[in-house]
Amino acid sequence: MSIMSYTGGTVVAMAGDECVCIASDLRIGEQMTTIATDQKKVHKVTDKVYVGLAGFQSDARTVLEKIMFRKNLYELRENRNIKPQVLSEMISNLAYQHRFGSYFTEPLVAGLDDTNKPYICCMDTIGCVSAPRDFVAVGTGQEYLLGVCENFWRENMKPDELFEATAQSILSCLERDAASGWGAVVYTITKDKVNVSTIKARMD
Amino acid sequence: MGDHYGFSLTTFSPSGKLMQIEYALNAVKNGQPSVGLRAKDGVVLATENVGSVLTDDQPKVEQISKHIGCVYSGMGPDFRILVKKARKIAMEYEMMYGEEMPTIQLVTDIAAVMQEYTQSGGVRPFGASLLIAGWDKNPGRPLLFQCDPSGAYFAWKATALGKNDVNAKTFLEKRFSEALELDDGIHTALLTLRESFDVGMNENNVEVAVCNSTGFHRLTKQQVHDHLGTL
Amino acid sequence: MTSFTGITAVANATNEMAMFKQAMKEVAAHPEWMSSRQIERQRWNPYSMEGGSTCAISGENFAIVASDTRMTQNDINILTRDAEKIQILNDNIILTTSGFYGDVLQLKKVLQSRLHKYRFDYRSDMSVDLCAELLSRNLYYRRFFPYYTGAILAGIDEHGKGAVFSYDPIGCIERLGYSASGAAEPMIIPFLDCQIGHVTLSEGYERPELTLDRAISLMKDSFRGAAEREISTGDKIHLVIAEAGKPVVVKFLPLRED
Repeated sequence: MSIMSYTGGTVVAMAGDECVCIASDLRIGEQMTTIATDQKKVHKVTDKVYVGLAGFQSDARTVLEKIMFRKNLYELRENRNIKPQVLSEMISNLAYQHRFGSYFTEPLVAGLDDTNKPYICCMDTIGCVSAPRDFVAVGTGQEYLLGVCENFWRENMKPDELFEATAQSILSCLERDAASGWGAVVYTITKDKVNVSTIKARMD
Repeated sequence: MGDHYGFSLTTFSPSGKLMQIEYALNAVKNGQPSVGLRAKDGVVLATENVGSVLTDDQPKVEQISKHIGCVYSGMGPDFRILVKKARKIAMEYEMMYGEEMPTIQLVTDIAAVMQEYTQSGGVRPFGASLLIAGWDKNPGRPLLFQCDPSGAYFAWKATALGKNDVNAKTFLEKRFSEALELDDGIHTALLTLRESFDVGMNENNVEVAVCNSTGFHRLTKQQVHDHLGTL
Repeated sequence: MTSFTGITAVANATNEMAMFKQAMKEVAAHPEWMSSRQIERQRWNPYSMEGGSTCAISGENFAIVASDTRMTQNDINILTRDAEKIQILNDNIILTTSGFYGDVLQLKKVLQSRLHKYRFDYRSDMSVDLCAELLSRNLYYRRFFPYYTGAILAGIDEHGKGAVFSYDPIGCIERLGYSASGAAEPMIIPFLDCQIGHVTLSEGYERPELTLDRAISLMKDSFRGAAEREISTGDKIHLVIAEAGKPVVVKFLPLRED
């Protein structure tokens, strides 16, 4: 079994009209054994920027600490909030610095920039960024998600529609992906607030 | 390696001054004058650049990144080292964060380099002050900074360096207005520069550069000639 | 003198023996008869995968089957844009397979001949339930050199209801409401889970019955989504509609060709 699916876990993000949604499952395992059922894989970076880390969760934790370290230094130095575009470039650099001995985690960035334009991107373990306008998914359920998202995503969705599309996508994915599950947490990021909802799915 | 000791030449005098830095500032004061001025929609840098009739032109104004450039008063070779370092810092920032370095970030980094040369062993302070002009995209605004050999930096609306800088600054205080447009800014900067000129100004002994939303540009000789014509 | 030559002879003999042994070793390691063609043959794989995806949905009185028509090699080269992955075995049995195209064709032939024989023996068409069992046994018959195919059998059963049977390569059989197989299976299945299985709907909500029109439109959406992301799926949708009491309808619908 690959190290990328050792702990399992899936993260997805979708972009809408001045809003983005980012969601992850809650399971963490050791191969077939479930270890914890409350492990969010989405982390807050700033008020309007979130990062998701799928893959090997031990590495994901380390990477998250390194991301926060760099982001805090950046914000203190520049005295401004980091933009999602800049954050993704930063994470990409961080990842590529470990080109030959990479962290086994695929980062995903979702947020609104200072003009409230949505930005989503995902990258591979060594930081190759792909920033499409519609949706991104990483983790063990990636394939399941891409198929469902392709059908559920529409242009310029409002926050409530976007939430519904994201939630339905990840729930459908959890139905088939054995390495992810135990419900999901969905962050809907709009320009003046972030809505967090935990949803139940197959609890196995 | 153990037999090598590095000593800083810049040690405090009993009165609490670092004489080397004072001397470096003198090198600046004796240099060819430069003027910087912030207009509403851009920054102007102007400087005297007198070469011999026998030499080819050597520019004094240098671009650092798309929207940042600088000019100096003082020692040319020291300036070129600073420009080299500044360009590297700016490029590294762009590669790290995927966007152009904000002017203030570059200024603090350059100032840190200059400070380092006042405290490190085996080096001397830079004999040049910089005027750094920049345009920040967010929010779109012109910026003008001065960086001294000590590592001190200042944000200016308008200022002058080099020979006769006190007179030039007094002149600017009278002439400067926040409402100036870029073309008027060039005009005012050239007028200021003229105060310290002993010979006639022409396109061969004056260099002008502007920095606005489109980036940092050096004016061509023809453009300088046209502006001088309106003085 | 004699003894001297004798010693030389013995010394030569041991030397020759050592050389002989060395030569034997070399020949064993790199036998000369092992031509590059034979080395190639040792690495030869009896299977290949020609990509593509198939899907089937059943309803109360209908079953629809669809596949794309692309055939690829190594997921990169397109061999043809008109590959047939659906076989209409009789008026109410449709077989659709993806995977190794050689096995797809062989499986089709085997089933066709068995159905043909059945008509002679019993003077009637085989029912889909029987055929499903037959296919399962045929697949398991080759347990240790399997047909490299993901097969789906669909049709109208004896009660006039839609039926879909899903298989793994060695004949594990399951009757389902809908199924997908092939390269884009992981993309299609969760979508159908959501839209037909209503697995994401809370309990107590109304689950409307699937109509033929909705099934067809879901099928189109599934393939559109799959073709968007999965490179070995594309070109055309080959859609076969079986409705109880009506002749089988075959349609070709456009799909991404890149």
